[in-house]
Amino acid sequence: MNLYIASTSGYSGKTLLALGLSRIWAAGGVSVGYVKPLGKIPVMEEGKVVDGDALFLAKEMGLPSPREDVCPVVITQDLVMAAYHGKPLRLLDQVRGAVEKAASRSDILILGGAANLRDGFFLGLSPLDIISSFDCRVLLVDRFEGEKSMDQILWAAGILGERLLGAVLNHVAPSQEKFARNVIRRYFEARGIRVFGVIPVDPVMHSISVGTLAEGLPATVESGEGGLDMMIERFCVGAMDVEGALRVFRRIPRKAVVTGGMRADIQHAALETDTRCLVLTGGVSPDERVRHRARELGVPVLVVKEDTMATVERFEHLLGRLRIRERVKIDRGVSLVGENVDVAGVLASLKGAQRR
Amino acid sequence: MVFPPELFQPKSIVVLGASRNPGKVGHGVFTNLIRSGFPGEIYGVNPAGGEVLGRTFHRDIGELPGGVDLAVFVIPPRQVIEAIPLLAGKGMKAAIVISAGFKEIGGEGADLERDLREALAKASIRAVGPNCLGVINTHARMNASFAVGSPPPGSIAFFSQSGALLTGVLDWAVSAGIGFSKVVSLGNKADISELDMMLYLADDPETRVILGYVESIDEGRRFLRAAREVTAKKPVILVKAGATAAGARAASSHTGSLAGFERAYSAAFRQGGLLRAETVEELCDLALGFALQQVPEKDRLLIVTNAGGPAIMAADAAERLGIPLAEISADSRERLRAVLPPTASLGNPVDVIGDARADRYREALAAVRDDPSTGSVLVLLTPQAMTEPEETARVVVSSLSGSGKTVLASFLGGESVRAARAILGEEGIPQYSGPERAVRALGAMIAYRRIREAGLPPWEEPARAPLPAAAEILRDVLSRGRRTLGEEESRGVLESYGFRFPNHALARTSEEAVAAFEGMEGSVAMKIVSPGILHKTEVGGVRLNLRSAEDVARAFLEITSSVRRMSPAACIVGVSVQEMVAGGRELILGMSRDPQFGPLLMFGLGGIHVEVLQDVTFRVAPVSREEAGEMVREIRAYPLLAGFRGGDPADEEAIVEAILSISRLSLDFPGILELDINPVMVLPKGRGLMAIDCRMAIGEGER
Repeated sequence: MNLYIASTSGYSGKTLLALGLSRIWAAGGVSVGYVKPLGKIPVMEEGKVVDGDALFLAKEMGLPSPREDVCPVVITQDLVMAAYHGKPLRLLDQVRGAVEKAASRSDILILGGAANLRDGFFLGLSPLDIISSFDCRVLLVDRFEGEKSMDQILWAAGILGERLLGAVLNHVAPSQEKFARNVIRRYFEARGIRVFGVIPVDPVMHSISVGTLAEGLPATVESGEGGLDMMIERFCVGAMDVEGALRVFRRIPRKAVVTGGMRADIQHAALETDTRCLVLTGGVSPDERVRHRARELGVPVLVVKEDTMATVERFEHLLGRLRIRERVKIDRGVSLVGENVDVAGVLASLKGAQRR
Repeated sequence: MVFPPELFQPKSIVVLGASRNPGKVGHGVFTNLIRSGFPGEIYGVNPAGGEVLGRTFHRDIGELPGGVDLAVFVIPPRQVIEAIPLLAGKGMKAAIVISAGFKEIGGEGADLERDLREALAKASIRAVGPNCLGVINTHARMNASFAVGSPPPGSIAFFSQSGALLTGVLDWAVSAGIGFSKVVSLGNKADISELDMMLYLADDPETRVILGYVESIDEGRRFLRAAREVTAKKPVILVKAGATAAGARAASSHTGSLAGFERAYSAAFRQGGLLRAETVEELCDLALGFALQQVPEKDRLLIVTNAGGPAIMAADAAERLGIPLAEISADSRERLRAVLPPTASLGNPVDVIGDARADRYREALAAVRDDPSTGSVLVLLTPQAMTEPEETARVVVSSLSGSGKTVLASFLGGESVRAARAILGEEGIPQYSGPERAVRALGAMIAYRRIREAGLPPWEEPARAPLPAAAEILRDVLSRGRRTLGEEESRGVLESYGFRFPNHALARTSEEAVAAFEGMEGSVAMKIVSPGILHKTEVGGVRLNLRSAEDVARAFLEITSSVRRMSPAACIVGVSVQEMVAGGRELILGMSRDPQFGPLLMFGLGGIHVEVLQDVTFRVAPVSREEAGEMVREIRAYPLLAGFRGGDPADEEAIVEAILSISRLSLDFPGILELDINPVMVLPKGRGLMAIDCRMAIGEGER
């Protein structure tokens, strides 16, 4: 049985769902496999390009197969240029090999979908082609954004037809949770679309470790290497006077403070409150006293070359595209899926569809 | 731009807003004029009438009995503007606007200042101020200011953008008995600026040394040009406030203008031959030396002391400033031996030891007075049991007068040397409360002599057509509404100015990268080409020293994968494959356009030298070949270029050529606002430079 986890836009929770479902099913004695047909996060591993997300899931799920089997196609500059020049790529054949191999040794094979239902068309790997070629059922996960989500889910349901098992609404704001569980669920179910789960916004899932932040900004770790595993939930910009800054800093726990490298006053203020990391902009290293205090407190200090404005943009960008890598997020993610998604229902529905 | 003589030498003066009330500025100005003994006519105008010191005020301008040369305004801004045409009708040639309430208050005040400027221009009147303290010309016995007390006549001229600071300096002058020729409070500089004042004072026969306190300089390039003319005639010592970022902010809000950058000021002052004092105290110290003594004809300094400590401090200060100590000749040494006790030091510093009375100083000074290698003598004295401070002061005067040497003194102490110091001051020997301050003043005098002897290198802006190839590229970029040049475009501009770049090729695939590598010599560097990416290294976009086809293919994959992952939104054009430059040293060359002084050239060693040590040097363009050479030699890391510890000496001549090229480029194209060639590799002597990476920002053309 092949389950394709789809979304209509990136960063909606496909990895979260794949991780949660596979863990929970596996615990119930079902053997679960995973293939990501098209990888878009190229990472070099032992001289080969592999997909970062697929690699992560393969490790988490303890899959034995070589990496090419988990992610048969990873995007590279060479591949893209070949596509531009109209060269025959035959990537679907590559995917087929991997899917058949993985399917043969598992009860359920999860296919990690592309960012949306169009992604991959150019390379000859249209998600719809993949879904029909490998006779997949589809679970749609959506980062819930009100009417926009309504449009997207209804549109996708129309295209997927019988193959759609149902949807999971992710990242639902606390104020919307009840509404989603009642009104929205009823709305979709009246139209034949099952809602398997409503996953609320979660501060842990929405956090980023200092280490991942440093890699993503990118920043130089000036000091505090020991604190790279600490998780940051929010960030503050220190561009005001110290008094004002202190007021703001006290209100926000588990944060990173972004400020100019010259603003030692702000940096000291930040260190006196619950700050997990200092991000100093303009390529300026902290002065000795700040460095010393940060070391005492075990707070890592990152230095970026960009100015504060650009760094904040970059930070926001990263927070909007969080990946699951850190251990706390993995554990939290699995329990979120267990608590909020009808995992058994998905399995039953998948089996039922298979029988039909 | 020379202003009318009436500003400093009027025959008649009117004070608008003269007041009976001792608490008013108009009272202070009027009484200062009378008390300074001004010999010409003094009128006061006040609509309420009244009289001060037996002089009756006129109720309005129409009532004035005769013509006026100079008007001093102490009335509200609007009334100043209205009175100008009326007074011009009475023959006024110059004005001093003391009134505040103009640009310094912003908003409406700025409009009033513009109206004032227009009124002055229309009536062809030159004016000092507004928002100033006034003007003093001691030799004409004119104190048209509300400063407390008048300085005695002398040869120091002082202009200041800060009125309060000026009062402070005058107070010092009065108490120290220092004479001034002219004192001008510039205020907001609506008309007469530091530039006008400097040019005027350059030809003023009563002025030997010009002092200034400036917060901002308005027309940097004109100022620099003028400074070069003035410093050829007499020394100019400036305090430039607002040197730090915090100071610049304060100055900007104080004067309401965008301050230029400190490094531009430093470069411009140096190129203009201006001497710079860091503090007002230092300004006074330097002024004293120039005002009372001749500039030394030779560099070497002789120190005569009665105590070791102060002499060591003086020697330290001299060494730091590059002032060599005199070698005492064998003859002089013999003469000293004859007159000094056996424990005295016969070297330089000459130590006459603690029990020296005035006569021992006399004998020692007589022994060395005609020593041929010495240009200046610093006499130190600490009060001890046997010391005779006053008599020693007289001995210093009598022993060294007519010696042709520059003489300075530092008598340390308080009450016991007070009278001695007064004697020195009266007799024209500058006396300082610390030996290092005396040495600092001497250092400035020697620096000035060197500037005047060597002359400043020529400063000419080339009048020539910009090179068409570069012009074409810049026009094209501008017409597309862009403000930064891509690497290819910057390279194009610089190549037309004689810069060389290593062989390079753009590869869009790993196959193309390998093909490019195979057509090149030696190892290659690879860099991501993507317009959105500023810091290539941070996103894994750079690989160096690649030696084989496999390495190149793999680097292509690594670079593009890394960039795709770290900057998913960036558009990847491809990867640039470039021949590595072997055996060179990394330099940085650049230009940024300063709001006051125009193109400011930068040179330094690259990498850690610029990023951590900030070992870079600046000059305002254009630079001469000599100055470009100076830039190369004055960085601290210069020994590394010159071939430190057996390294190959770098091609210095090529660096000089490159600096000259950037100088020309920045003048040919006022539109280039920022230019960075970083890194550029200098190869061993005779092999030239290789530019590696460059960036350029352009605008419509400022200057």
